[in-house]
Order: sequence, then C-alpha cells, then structure tokens
Amino acid sequence: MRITTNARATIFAFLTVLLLLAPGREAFGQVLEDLRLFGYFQGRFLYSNEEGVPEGPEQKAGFTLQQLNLMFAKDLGSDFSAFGNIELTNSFSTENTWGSLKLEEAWMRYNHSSAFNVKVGLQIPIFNNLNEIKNRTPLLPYVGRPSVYETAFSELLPISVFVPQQAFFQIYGALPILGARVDYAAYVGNQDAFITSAPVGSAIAGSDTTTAKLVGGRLGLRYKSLKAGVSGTIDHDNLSFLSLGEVNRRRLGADLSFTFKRFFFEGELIAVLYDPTELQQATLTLISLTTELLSNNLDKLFYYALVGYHVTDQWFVYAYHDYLEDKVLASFQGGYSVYSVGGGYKPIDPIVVKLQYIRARTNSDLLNYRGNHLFAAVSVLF
Amino acid sequence: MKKELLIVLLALAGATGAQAQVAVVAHKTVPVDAIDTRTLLDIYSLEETKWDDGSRIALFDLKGKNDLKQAFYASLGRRPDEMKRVWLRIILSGEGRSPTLLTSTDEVLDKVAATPGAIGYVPLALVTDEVKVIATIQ
Repeated sequence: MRITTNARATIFAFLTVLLLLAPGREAFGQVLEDLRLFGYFQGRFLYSNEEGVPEGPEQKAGFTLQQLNLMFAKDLGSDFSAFGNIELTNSFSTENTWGSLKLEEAWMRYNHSSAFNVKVGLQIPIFNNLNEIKNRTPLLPYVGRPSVYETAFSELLPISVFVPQQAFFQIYGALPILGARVDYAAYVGNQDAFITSAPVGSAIAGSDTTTAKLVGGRLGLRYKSLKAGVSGTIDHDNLSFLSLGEVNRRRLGADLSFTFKRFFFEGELIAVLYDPTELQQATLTLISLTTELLSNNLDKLFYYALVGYHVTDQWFVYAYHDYLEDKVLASFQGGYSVYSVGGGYKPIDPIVVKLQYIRARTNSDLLNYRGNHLFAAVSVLF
Repeated sequence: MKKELLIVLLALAGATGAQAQVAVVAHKTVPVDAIDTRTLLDIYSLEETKWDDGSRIALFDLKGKNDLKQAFYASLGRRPDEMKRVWLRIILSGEGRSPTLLTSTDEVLDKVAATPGAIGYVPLALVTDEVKVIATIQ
C-alpha cells in the first residue's frame, strides 16, 4: 500500500501529539498499578457412555483444559470503569486447531449510582439469572451446565437460539423500594443469527448483516436472599436454511433463586416463540410434509431447577433437572431431559474441585439418545 | 442514606456470657454520622459504592475466619462465605472489586483513618479519635 505525502504528514503529526501526551515512566507505572488482572480456568476429565447416536454406541474419556478466561479491569475516575474478558476453550491450540479464542467482553461503564448504570461495548446482556455468569466457572457448582447454557451442546442446538449472546448498549440498575430492590435492565445489540463469520459484500466479519437489532431487558425483584425476575428479547432468527429467511422471534424468560439456611435453589424457564408470516408458515408447513424430521412449529421451551446444600463452608452438594423441547425438530419434540447430581470441595477460596454425573435422554422414536456422563473438574481463580 | 442512630443488639452465645462489641468505623470525612444495618449490608454487598455526596466508598474487611468477622456479618444476617459468593459474582462480572482484606484490626483502624471514604469494623475497645463510630454491634 503506498502512503501519500499527505498521509505521511498526518501520521507524523499524530505521532508527535501522541508522544507529547504520552505519560512519563512514573505515570505509565501508575497506569499499570491501577490495572487489575485476574481470571480463572477449569480443567476437566469427562467419561461419556452414549447410545442412540448415529455413529453407534460410543464411549469416550479424556482430559481437557475446558476454559481459561483472562480479565482486565480498571477504574477510570470515580464514575467510569472498563472491563475486558478474553476466553480460550478446549485446550486452545492454533498448532493443532483445537478449541477457540474469543473476545467475550470489552466495555466501559458509567456508574451514576446503584440505581443507574450505562454500559457501552461488547457485553453479555442480562437475561434471567444464569446468562451473565454461564461461563464463570468459579461461580458454578456444576461442570456440565443446564442444556441451553452448555456450549458442548451447541452443535445440536445453538445456545443463541434460547438466550441472547451479545449486546452493545445497556442501561441497568436497582431501585430500592420498601426494603427490597427492583432490578431493571434494557439493552440493544446485534442479531446473533445474522452475524457473519466471513466478509459478505461490504459487511465486516463479526458484524450484523441486517439493520434490525436485538432488543431486550429484564425486570426483577430482590428481597433478602430471594431473587426473581422476568426477561424478554425481540429479534429475528435466520432460518434461511429452511428457505424462511428472517423470522420474528420473541424470547420470554423467568428466573427464581433463593437460599434458606444452607440450602440454595435456582430455576429458570425460557420460551422461544416465533411469529412467522403467512408465507413463511406456509413454506414451513410444505417442508414439514416432505420429511419426518421437521414439523411446522418453530417454538421451543426450556426449564431447569436446581437444589443444593452447603454441607460446610467448603463442601456442597446439589441435584438438578432440566428439560428442553424443540417443536420443529422431530427428535426433540418429545423433549430432552437431563438429571444431574454432583458436589464440590473448596480446599481454599480460589480452588473448587467438582464432581458431577449427568443422565441425558431424548423422548423420541426418531432419536433414542441415552447418555451417561461423569465429570471431574478443578476450577481455579487467580 | 438514613442518618438516624440505631444500635444493633446481637446476643452472642458463649459459656462465659461475654459479649463482643463491634464498632463500625469510618474516615472522618465520610458524610454520615450513623448507619443502619440495611445500608451497611448494601455497602458490604457492593450494592452501594458511593456515599451520598458521590465520593467512593473504600471498603475494608478482615482476612480469614475470626469471631469478630462472624459477629459482624451475623448482625447483617449473613455468613462470611455467603458474602464471598456475592463478591465473586460482582468481581467476575467486572462490576466492582471486593473489600480490601487486612490481617489485623489495628491495620483496619490505620487504613480507615488514612483513607477518605473508608469504612471498616473493629472491636469497640480499640477505637481511637482518628476515626468516627457510625454504628455499634453488641
């Protein structure tokens, strides 16, 4: 690329200004001192025994560095802060093409008070209780997450169908009312289903190729240990692979969590409702008549409920059940059920050793899936 | 935040019947003279990060396990391990930072006295003129 004379002059002027404004060694040291670096990783051993998979009965076992997150945080004065989060998964290696490297979050926040905050940048939108922390392994008692939050399941049913993945502008806060707090959040972001992974015409990879946007929010209540809320999003799903194009989609969620003495409970419900046009519905009905694999109803449902108990400050146990239903896929119309039990031990605060058993079943004549999975993991915070 | 003076009474179980008195202390420039348990819990839960005048709250806590810490959080209706989980969620969400953990009550007193906007808790018997008491837990 040739650099013109004017461009050279501009670059030189910019560098001169930058050098004049650049902090001296002492100031630069202060910048580093104020920067908080932290993160976590989780290593995992998995034993799986599956039946009903197309390739035949399968047993597998293996270790993986499931996830490593590097986080950066800095206060920018008394009202502003910045945060970054980089995530590497599945023993990430470019040499072996394992895993993934992802920019999970990078945002700036204006904190007026607990009642009013504005967050700008790449962020995880507030939806139900688990969405914001689904990848925060030190916070999760389990290794295998409830189905719609489990990335290992994403090839079969993308997580983004059920929960919004990204937002770019969000206002949120908590309003004190009569001894309780009312939480609110409203956000806007890209439509996940239309983010391109490769340049398309003039679109940049990683950008939304449409003009419509994801809009969503949550309204909740907190009183002592009780937290409850309802969430919703409006956007379009990309069903071009079914010749439907953009289909209106609403996600509705409800969450409830509380503690009682040493017991803890959390649960969520998510309904994904589609509003196809008459033409889209007719197209879908026609397609469903040509194959037993699909039906003409796009809606989906998910719920989970977990009960746990802190035996001591270091030991905990839990059990959960989750259920997922995808009405369009014949294999999942009858539901996909998961039952799980597990526990963990924290020898010191930053380390959690986890053990978990998952039993997963489909209820379908087309897909008689039976899976038994045993996880052992160590989550480390640093 | 409320400015009425409240005394939080908490009977501590003990064979001798001895009662520890915990003083919630603050830097002298902190714009409150008294604080209630609701507000104290909001501060230590990292819900409230600023004083009424907009200045940042500098929060101090004690490291490890000890009777004073147990008593302080019991008066707020919480256990220390519960508070850690609350802090961890906020920290890993990038929404705040946990209290600064100090190894002794003397260190808490020194830091609170020297840090504008600071709040901490110490045995009442250790309080000096360099800080002000904004609540007492008995």
